[in-house]
Amino acid sequence: MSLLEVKGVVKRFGGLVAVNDVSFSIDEGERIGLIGPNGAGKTTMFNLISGYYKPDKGRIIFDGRDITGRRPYEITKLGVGRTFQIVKPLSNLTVLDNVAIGALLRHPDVNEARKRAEEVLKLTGLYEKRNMRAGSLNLPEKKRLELSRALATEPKLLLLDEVVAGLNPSEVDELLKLLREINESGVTILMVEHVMRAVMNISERIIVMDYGVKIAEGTPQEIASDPRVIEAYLGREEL
Amino acid sequence: MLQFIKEGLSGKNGQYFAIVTAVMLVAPLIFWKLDLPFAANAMLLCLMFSIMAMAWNLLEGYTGQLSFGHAVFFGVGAYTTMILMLYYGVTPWIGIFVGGLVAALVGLALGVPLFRLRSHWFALATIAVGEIFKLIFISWDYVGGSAGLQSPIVPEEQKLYYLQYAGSYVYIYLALGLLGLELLVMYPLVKSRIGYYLQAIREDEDAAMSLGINPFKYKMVAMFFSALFTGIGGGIYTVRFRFVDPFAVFDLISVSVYITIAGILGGIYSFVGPIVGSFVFVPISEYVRVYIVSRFPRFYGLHVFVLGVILLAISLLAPEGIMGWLEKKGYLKKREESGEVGEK
Repeated sequence: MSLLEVKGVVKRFGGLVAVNDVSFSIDEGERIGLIGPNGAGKTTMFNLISGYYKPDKGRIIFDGRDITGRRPYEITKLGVGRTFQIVKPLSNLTVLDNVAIGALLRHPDVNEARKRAEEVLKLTGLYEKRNMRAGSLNLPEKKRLELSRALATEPKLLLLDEVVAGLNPSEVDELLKLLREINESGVTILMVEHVMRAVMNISERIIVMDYGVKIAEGTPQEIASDPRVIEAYLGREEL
Repeated sequence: MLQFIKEGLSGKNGQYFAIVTAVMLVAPLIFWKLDLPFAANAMLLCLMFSIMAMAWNLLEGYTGQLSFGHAVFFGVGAYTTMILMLYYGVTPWIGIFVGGLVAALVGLALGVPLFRLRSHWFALATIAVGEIFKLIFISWDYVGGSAGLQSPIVPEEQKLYYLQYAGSYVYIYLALGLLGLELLVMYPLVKSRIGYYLQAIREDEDAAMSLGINPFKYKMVAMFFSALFTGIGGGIYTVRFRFVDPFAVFDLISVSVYITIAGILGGIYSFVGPIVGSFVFVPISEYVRVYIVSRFPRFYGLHVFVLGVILLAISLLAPEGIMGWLEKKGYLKKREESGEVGEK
């Protein structure tokens, strides 16, 4: 059964069509990559799924429920966790409190939420920095904080917006290993990523967008050899 | 609930709390014995502003919503207490709390439009709302119009029922009790899930929403308690001065801005900061108003000038307020153990 269904979604900003009639569906437990050149509409797609934008047309079904036009916090409660490409740490709070606030969604007791947050931080490798002010972390750490916070809300579907960007190769491998573990524990993952090595490595299936339109969908091998995808990234060969 | 209070009073904090409480309880007796009405009145005003600045800070320090319109809640609380007493013979022992509740309901009603605005637009709108309330009360005959309302002196046997005593001494204990009540409500509130959610909203509303927080709902919760205790502050004003008029209780500078300065001076990131700020700022302002301005009447308005000087000093010397400054100098435990707290 599909966990997320996006059906003919359209989003316009003034005259610009950022997402144009895009449809896809994701099954429970999958790892899906969403790729495309800059301005393809990937982050807009994320904002549509997580409720930050309302689609002009089309429907979004999550876990059997129509979530089209629902508010972001309602969608989080239903089980969609997300990270932000432009990180949004709760800067003046500690790393632990950032994650504990996420955990409070399912564990209203503060002490219980803090315990949950510590477990999440041990998993994501930020435990040593738990008492630091979130604003003082470096960028890769802030990205991991985004991931930790989203995980703490105990999502069924995790939307990751460029969490790998800015990491060095060994950190990338470490994070990919972590994402596999998270996926194996039952969390479906949809990730937007520019680092091709990472997205090809981890995705079971890849969706490609260009100029707001879905241009291809398939396994990493299929995508890598798809002429439309190559054209989108490298341009048409001039004769 | 109790668990938070127990934690809060453990160790050094508990000792400080006990000492401060003891001093507060003894001070009015000393003022009374030595016949120091000015000091007693200043202390009462300190407590009244402590109650209100702490309530204001639930919105500003915790939730990030800067209000310059708390005179609305102060005025509504003061008028409600007065009207209940004057027109319906209701004792202020009940009226003060009804006043707080009415102020809280006004807060919720105002929150619906106001919380559609973000950051400085919210702050500007609160100024406008304060002025609108002043104008409404000026032209409203039922509440005495621009002349305001005054409660008559009652015979000896009704003093307790109408809470009418000479001087400030008795009212200090009333204000202390109400401040204690506020601490009992606010401390568990900010240490619970609600307090964390408010801070998340202050830091980043989009991030807060991604964590399942409905910003509007929790801003309304903060507004309710903030307006409630500010309204109770208004009730104290009514019983102490037996006179309310729209120019005094809805005043932008001497109510709304005073509350704001007391809060910022003490430190908005500290739970007790607004109390500390009130106890520093109000005596200075009172001293200037009563002694200096009265001696040099040509310099009327000097106490407002003093506000400017104090604001300048905070922004230069202690941008995070007195409590933030004490933290940085190492006299108080830092909010984070790592010591990596930067300037905001």
